[in-house]
Amino acid sequence: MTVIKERNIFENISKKDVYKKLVDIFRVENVSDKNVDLYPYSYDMTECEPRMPDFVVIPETREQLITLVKFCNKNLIPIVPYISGNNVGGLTIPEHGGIIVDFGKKMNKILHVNENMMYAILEPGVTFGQFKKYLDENYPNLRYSYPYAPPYAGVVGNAILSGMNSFSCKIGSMGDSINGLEVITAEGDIVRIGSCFYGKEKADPDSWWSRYPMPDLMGLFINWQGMTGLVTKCAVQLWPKDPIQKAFIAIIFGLTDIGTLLREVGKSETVDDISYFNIEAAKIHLFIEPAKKFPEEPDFIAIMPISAKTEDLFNAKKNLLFDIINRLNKNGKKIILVDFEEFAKLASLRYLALFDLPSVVLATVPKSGITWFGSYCPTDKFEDLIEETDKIFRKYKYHSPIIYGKIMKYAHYGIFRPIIPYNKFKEEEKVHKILEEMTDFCINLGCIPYKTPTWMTSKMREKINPGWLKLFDKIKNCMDPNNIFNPGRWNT
Amino acid sequence: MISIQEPEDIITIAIHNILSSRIDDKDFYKHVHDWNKKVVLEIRPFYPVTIIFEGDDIQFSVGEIKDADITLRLELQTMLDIAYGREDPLLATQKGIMEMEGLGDDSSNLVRFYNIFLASMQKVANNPNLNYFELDKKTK
Repeated sequence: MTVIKERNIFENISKKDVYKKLVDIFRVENVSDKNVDLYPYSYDMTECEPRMPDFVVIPETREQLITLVKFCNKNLIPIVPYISGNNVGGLTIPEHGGIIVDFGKKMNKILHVNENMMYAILEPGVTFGQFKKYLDENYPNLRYSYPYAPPYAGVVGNAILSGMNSFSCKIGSMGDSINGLEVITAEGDIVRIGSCFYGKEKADPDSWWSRYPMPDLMGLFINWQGMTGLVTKCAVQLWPKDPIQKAFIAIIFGLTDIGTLLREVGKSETVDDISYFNIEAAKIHLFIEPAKKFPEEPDFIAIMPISAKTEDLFNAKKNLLFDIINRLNKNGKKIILVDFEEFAKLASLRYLALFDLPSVVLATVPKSGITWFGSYCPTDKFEDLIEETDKIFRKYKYHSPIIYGKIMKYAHYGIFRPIIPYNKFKEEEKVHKILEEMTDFCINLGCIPYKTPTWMTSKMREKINPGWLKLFDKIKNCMDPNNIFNPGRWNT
Repeated sequence: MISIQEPEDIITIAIHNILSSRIDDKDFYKHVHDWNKKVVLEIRPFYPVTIIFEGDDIQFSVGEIKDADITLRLELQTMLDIAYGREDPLLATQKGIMEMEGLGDDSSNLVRFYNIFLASMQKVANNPNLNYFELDKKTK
């Protein structure tokens, strides 16, 4: 694990005075320094080392946050943005203490939906469940795309950390679906990025329709894990909800043959998404544990939704999908392709939760811990990645080995994500060994972890081009010279 | 009270799902009770599993046992077609897309087999409830 250098954050101002100032800004009912309130913010589901914050504040307005940032920048006090604590990477564990800014409680409004230009402006605390319900009730012709995450996870956090979604085969990373951001910088300035940059004082809510073609400053905030500013608004793209939507399930025999399927189907432009799970994951989902795989059983399943505006278009896409699978089978693969809903009704309705996103993987809840090597990967390495991580899981005789992933943007890149549900406090040492072994192997094959814990970024730093690191550090120093924004992330 | 073994593999998961949907059904009990047969079910291209009916118990075993009483082999797609009413089981047998052995001339065997497997499968398929989050934990 990375050793974090302790930093005395109360060198310039006493803790008592910080509390007073926070109460001034947020009112007493929205500030706490009590351990009982701070404890839930000190850890997450992962094996990342817990660390107590000094305060938690619940903001209601952007103006409160501007005052907070100016105050913290002057007094060198860390600010850690928090939405619902569902990330799998220790991203909101305050490595240097400081102030947790909990957006989830009150800055959680859907501010505007432009139906015509298909985008929504959101506050950081909006959750997937809230957003889906709102769109279904008010804009039934539009849809957002959802990750394999619980309904109480945050939309904006997922977008600015380049999470995946249920439309990934078409649109790729969620980071690409951001039209605009409003950010508070270290000096306390409000910066609007994207086509919403017109307007001296405020932006027209109907002006958040594109991030191009001006210099793309979005990159200063996307994937930075809150290290360069506080995002207070985010415009995300929406998509037409096609009247015909049906999913198919491919059942794949052969440990690594899923790789060929992902590439071939991904390139065919037929499906909205391909989510693949190893057979053990499918069993864990049904509470079958230990999730033993019988030698005769298939190795992977892949769920592939197709959407279309007409029956003819749907049938054309479906026929193309079946043709691809038939061709693969003729070439020696063993893949079954059937209607997903029909299969799930006979096999177990619970499988539907794999597709009806957002959803909670209920079976992992009693375990209390979950961690992963969540990465973007080169699609020609799927086979090697699956083979080796499967080996590592077997070497450690791990009871709940999950391999999950996606093909992104018509097979330009992929997602490879071994997931490890575990019993917190009991299995952390073993789990960390497994994860570390997987990390070393996968990074060597070119995988790039996302939503990354600091121990993982320190491994990445050993391999990253020095010019990139120099520029990265320069930008961080320029954006946040006093290192107040989520310090410690990416080993800053 | 019928007891059904908890499943461990992808095929017995489905069989368990189908049979357990009728665990409180008196008609189902009547057919299962003391049937005392070993049924091999092979859903192709998966693998065969043996379903053992003994008294009120239903047990599973991955693989095909030698002394099976009844054997049923069909493709997964044929199974779905039968369940969802696109294929008639009798015609499927005549067409050779569903192979059945061991039912002989004993009509009570045929009735029991039909009721336990095919009727249960069709019942699950025809259930309009897709609310996986409202499943009865006892039976699913």
